[in-house]
Amino acid sequence: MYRVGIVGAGGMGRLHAGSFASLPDFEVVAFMDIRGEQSEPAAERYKAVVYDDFGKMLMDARLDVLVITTPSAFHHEYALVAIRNGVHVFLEKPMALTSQECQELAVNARQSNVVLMVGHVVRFFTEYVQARNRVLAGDIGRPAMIRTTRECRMPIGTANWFSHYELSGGVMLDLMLHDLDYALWCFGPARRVYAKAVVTDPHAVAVNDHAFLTVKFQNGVIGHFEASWALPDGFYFTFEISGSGGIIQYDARKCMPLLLSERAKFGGQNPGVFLPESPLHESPYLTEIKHFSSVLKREEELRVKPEEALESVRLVECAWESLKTGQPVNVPGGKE
Amino acid sequence: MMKVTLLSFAHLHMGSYAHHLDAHPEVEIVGIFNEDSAQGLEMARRYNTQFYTTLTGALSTPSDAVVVCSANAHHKDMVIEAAKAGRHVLCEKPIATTIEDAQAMIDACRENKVKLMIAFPCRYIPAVQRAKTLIEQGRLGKILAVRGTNHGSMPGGWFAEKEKSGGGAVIDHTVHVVDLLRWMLGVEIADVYAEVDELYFTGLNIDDAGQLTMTLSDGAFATLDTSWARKPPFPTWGDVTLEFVGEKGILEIDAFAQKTDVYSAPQNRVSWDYCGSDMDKELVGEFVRMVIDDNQPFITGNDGLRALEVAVGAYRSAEKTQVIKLPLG
Repeated sequence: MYRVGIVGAGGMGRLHAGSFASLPDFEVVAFMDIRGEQSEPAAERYKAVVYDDFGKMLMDARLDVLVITTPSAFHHEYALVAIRNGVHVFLEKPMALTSQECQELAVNARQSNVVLMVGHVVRFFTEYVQARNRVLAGDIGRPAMIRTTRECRMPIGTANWFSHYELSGGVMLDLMLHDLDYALWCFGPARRVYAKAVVTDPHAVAVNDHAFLTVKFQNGVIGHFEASWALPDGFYFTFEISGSGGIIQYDARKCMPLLLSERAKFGGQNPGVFLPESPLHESPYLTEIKHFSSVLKREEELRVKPEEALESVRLVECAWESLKTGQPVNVPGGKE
Repeated sequence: MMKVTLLSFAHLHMGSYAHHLDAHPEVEIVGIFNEDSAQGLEMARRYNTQFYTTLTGALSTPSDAVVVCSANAHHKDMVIEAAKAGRHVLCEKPIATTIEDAQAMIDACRENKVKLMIAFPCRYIPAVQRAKTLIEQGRLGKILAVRGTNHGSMPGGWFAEKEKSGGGAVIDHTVHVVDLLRWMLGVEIADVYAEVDELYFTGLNIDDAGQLTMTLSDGAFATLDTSWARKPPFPTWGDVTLEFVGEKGILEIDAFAQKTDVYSAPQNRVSWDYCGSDMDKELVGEFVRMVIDDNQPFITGNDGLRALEVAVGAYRSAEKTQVIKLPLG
């Protein structure tokens, strides 16, 4: 049995705990959250021990796997300690706040011979995997452009941590990163970027909550990425990959097999509530944990390598530089 | 009756303008000039009018106005000749292929006291007009960011010959959305950055992919995809989409979303039949009213020039891999 500990018992922590607990070879044995009591209901559910100190958890709980679902700013610190102690790590995205921190994690994971997987869950969404397979199979000819949109309501984390650059990195590092990682997975390294971003709701938010990024990839593909926390309600994502011989389009809003329309008087909160749903037998969040499990057992090769997860963070750093200078920025290591 | 001379069917939009002029109760088409005689004769027969093999010949027959739909680079000579002949002008977009040509056309029309209107029919899309009203009512607060697309299909012919078109997808599809941004938001474009490339076709030797990022004069910004990304079996020619991100909310336009989906075995294809209102009919109607009622042009030569300037700036940006300030110095 692999003994799993979770640091950060928020929404993602509880989600991953449930996934690990559902697998036969894993038991969730420890929770740690700086908010103390936050861990207790989840710990009780899995008969796990609640720790208030990270070092103590790592030592006493004899962990094989550490799941890190804290605010992004703490990813690096927790991951590095775990890796150096020979503990495998499943780390929520972004890998860390800077590419230098990412690099350090990647190097240490290799030296310590542990599995370090970053939760780039989009690589486990069937629509994205299928589209990539189509592209690689040549079904749209030579790829030319990718356009992505990812929009949701401003996420509410503990102490509003998403709304602080030093904790979340803002909308590009937290949200756009999904699509950047996907595009890098499809098309390889980037050459240069040009970014625009804005704080749409300065009264409520202290970070850029809407951003555009244009990316020129080394293989010639042009990418346009849009990420927003300015959507008043809901969550959706779209992509379009076009090439010399075809187009693949996806819009989550148009792919909802279930639509519930509730009358307010029978319990709906607002008049005329429409609730679209896209139910699946297996959520991509479970698929990624199953994959992590298979990698630990040496049954599969890691789909999100640390060196790859690093590249999307590097791209966002270049985007920040572009925002600062108002000019396009060449990606280090890229051509030109 | 307002008498109109049609100058060139080189741009396929003339087909639509001619149809709506012909159907207009206050308009008489009195002559056609076309570079291609066979097509010119066919059109003259269709609209029961005279075909002329020369521009001078067509302009020697009295009329009130002309519609110019020649290849982009030929707009200048045609518009200036028409202005000298005292004709009001409806000119297809882009106004010209260079800033200098556009300015010469504007000057000629002013000097000859004729009106110049540029064909930006997207201003007549009902969803666009409704969106403009919503924005003006303050429903979104200040607009901070705009995402646009004007995808199209590679038209072929002179569109792919740079000396006639002035460029490919970027000059073809920058101007519509830039005009909408200027008109809907009351802003100018302060600078432009563009990735421009030949990605969809091989051996075309003209840009078919363009992704622009613009800073607006009020500090907001906008992006625009101008690519000729649509080709069979995609079910339609292209799109005009706009997403306005404001302080108070987000508004999306998908201008041609009013459609039926057609799955045809005899045609062996899937296609979208647009079922919304006809923007060209409104554009032509506006032009007719301008001439008959002696109104000021609703879409001016300057509107055409400012939109063209963004496309020219985009090419310059791609060439230098730099942000280009506008207006061009």
